[in-house]
Amino acid sequence: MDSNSTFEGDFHGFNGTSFNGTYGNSTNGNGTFTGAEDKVETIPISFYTPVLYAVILVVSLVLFSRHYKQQRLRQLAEQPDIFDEHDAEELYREIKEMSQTQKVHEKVLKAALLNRGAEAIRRTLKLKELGPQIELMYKSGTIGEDYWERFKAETKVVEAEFRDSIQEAEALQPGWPKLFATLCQEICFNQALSRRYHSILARKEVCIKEWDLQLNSDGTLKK
Amino acid sequence: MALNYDYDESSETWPFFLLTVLLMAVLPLTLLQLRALFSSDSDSNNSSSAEESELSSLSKKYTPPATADFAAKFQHKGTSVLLSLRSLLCLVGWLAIAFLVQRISASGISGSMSGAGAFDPYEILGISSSASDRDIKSAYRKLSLKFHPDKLPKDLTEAAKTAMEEAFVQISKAYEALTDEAVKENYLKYGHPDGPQTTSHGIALPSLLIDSRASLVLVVLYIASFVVILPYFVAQWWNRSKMYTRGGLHVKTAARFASCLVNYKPSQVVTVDMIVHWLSRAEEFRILFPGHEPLYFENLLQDYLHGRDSGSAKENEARLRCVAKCHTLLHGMLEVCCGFRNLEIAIATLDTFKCIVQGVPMSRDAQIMQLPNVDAAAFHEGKVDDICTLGKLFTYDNDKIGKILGIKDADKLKDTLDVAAAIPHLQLLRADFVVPGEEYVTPLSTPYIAIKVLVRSAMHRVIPTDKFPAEMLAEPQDFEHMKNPFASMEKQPVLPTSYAPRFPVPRRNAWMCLLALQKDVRILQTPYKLERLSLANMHNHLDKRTVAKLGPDFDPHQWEVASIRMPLGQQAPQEVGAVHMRVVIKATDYFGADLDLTMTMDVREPPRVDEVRDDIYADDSDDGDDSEADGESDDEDSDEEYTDIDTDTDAED
Repeated sequence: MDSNSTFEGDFHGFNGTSFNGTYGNSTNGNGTFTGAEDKVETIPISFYTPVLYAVILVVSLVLFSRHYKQQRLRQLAEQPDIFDEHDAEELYREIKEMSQTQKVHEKVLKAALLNRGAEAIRRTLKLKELGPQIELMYKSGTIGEDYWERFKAETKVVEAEFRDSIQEAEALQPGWPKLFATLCQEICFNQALSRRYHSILARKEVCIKEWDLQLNSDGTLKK
Repeated sequence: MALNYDYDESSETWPFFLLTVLLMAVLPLTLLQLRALFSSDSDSNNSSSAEESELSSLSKKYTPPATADFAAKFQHKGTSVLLSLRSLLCLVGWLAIAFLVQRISASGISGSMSGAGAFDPYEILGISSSASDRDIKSAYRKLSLKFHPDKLPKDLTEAAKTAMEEAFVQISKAYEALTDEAVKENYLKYGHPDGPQTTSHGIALPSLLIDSRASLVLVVLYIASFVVILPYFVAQWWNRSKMYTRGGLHVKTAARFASCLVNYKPSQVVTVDMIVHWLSRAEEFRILFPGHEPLYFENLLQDYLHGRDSGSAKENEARLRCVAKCHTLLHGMLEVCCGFRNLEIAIATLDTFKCIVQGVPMSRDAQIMQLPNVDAAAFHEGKVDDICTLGKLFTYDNDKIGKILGIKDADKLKDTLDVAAAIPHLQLLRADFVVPGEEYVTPLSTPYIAIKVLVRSAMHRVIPTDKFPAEMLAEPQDFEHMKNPFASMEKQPVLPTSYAPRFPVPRRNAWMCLLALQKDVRILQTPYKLERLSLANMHNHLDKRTVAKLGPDFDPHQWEVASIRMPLGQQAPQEVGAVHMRVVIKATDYFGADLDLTMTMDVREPPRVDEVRDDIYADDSDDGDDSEADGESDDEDSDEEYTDIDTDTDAED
């Protein structure tokens, strides 16, 4: 029964709420211990043991959560954007950088900013249009959680982008932002139209290839 | 009550514990294994006897040797390893169980433990439990006379004497238990006249594990299993379940496909090449062959489609492995397309599906190119009449077809024609929106789409819809059908394996049914996958080259009219009016087996309640209630004409 006694000793210690005290009296625990009780050994436990335990627990949890958060952030940062390219924004930043060292006409800078604003509006519209569909797909398990996270992040990024463009507009010419927003919207729609118009020729080429079409020199279909 | 924990010093309890744990694990595993065994048996039976169609044997015949080797290598290995490993586990489990059972029965303690502690005063005194006080007293007196130590005969051995004394003690205890108040209470409360007995709780661990040295090991093991191992495996499981979408797509792949669709500009023409380009970005390929760019996979897939050599044997095998992944990927992409509701891309995805399964590039002639033995150069050279469909091909006689396709050998031509004739085509007979139990679609009802099609071969003469009597094209009206209109679809046979010799995995054809609104050409719901359809009609003889015209001897009942019933994901609109929809039914494996139709959902007001009530009156009553019905119909003008109609029909009856 030697092996038992150490466990019973521990058991007692907690019941008597004394960690390093002595507890010769066997009746303060459960009462009806018999014979073997008298042989109980006492194991001195330092006062710092529970403190150490708590410290180790808390520190390990804190370390884990910090590590987890950092990993999560890194993963989010590593993920590609929803949109493939950021030409409009990059163009504006480059021109602005250039304007600090050399003379750039104000209109060039404004045009680049308008282009950037129009792109931001296009993205806002696109995300708004796709939002319910992406949410539905996420809920039905067609796309994973990270794409959903990316989508939510992108929505905020696009908003910030547009706000930033407006601030830049204010900085370029005070009082401009009001006109700037409507102008951007018009440019956005115009760009959409011109994209479609300019793609007609390219579409034609693809269709000729796809359907083995034979054309006359004037562009009509060969009969 | 004294508590006393005993470790399993004499190894009595832990075998029981272990046995329980083992049984818990081994029994379900064995059942699973048996079920897998039987289901695979029945599967192979099905495919070998009943469903081994002409097509699949032809498919095997025309499989390129490299593809056949590849299929044999990967399929066989995958299943057998799984089977043997699990079976081995089962076997070991059962051996361990047998050993434990043997050990337990040998120690022979199972029976003796239960009865030992029981104390029944009535039994000891030899009386029934309903005995009166007097009976108890007399029984006790009789027994005590017999067993009292003073009354024992002198010539007894020592052992017998102690047994007798023991019996006397028991008897007096039993008597006390039934007469003395305090003792009786003890007996009722604790089951023993002396009050509470010590209870011993065994812990099913052998004591050597608890000894001071080993206990440390045990504690470490305990901590390791609950702090390290368990969380590790749970995390693994969780990550893996998060790694793949519901459709079995890697989440990164799904995200990339979604990205492609988001960045797709409507001004682009959707082509199969574009879909293959998107497909090549799948994470699955990169997992299979790390360190390669999407362009590499795109080239492999394009090489496969155009039947080019990819360079080395290693690359050709890599190509087949990639291709074998494609059907899952394309189903996933279709799901994403439907999520973004883009019909154009969904259709291109299904075209790509066919291209990949048949291993031919997308072109106008794909229907012809999917046949075996076709000489593409000769076909393009001697092109007459602009043939690009199988139906058109079958307007010529066999020799001419051989010439058109550039096939000289008669046996090869027969194979080619067999394949061409066995590809199932769908002919639309009728399409309706049906609300179970209603005549027509009412606002906010839940209709389903019922499409009646004739499964036919390209060789068959087209049978006009009016050749079929109306009852063959009507939806059944019985209660079972109305309860679940889709149940009968499940009773159809599963489609047989397809003719797809270049695809490295056996394929079963399926039709994906897409539903889109005509208003904005947007997909309305997730695609419906049709995997069961009877192909009985394919064996009918109605060669359009021999049967010039459908004569009076044409019997429509020889033909089976198939029903495709698609659930509609949403209710009918609230407003009365017409909703135009487009239904696209595309086969995944064969070119030319598609159906593309427009349907109009005509939403009408339900019959008015008054009207219905009038109907009832008209049916039930002959004369008595007439005045009442008239009185009611007077209230509303519009109802009058309907009551007129009712009386008319009554008169006719």
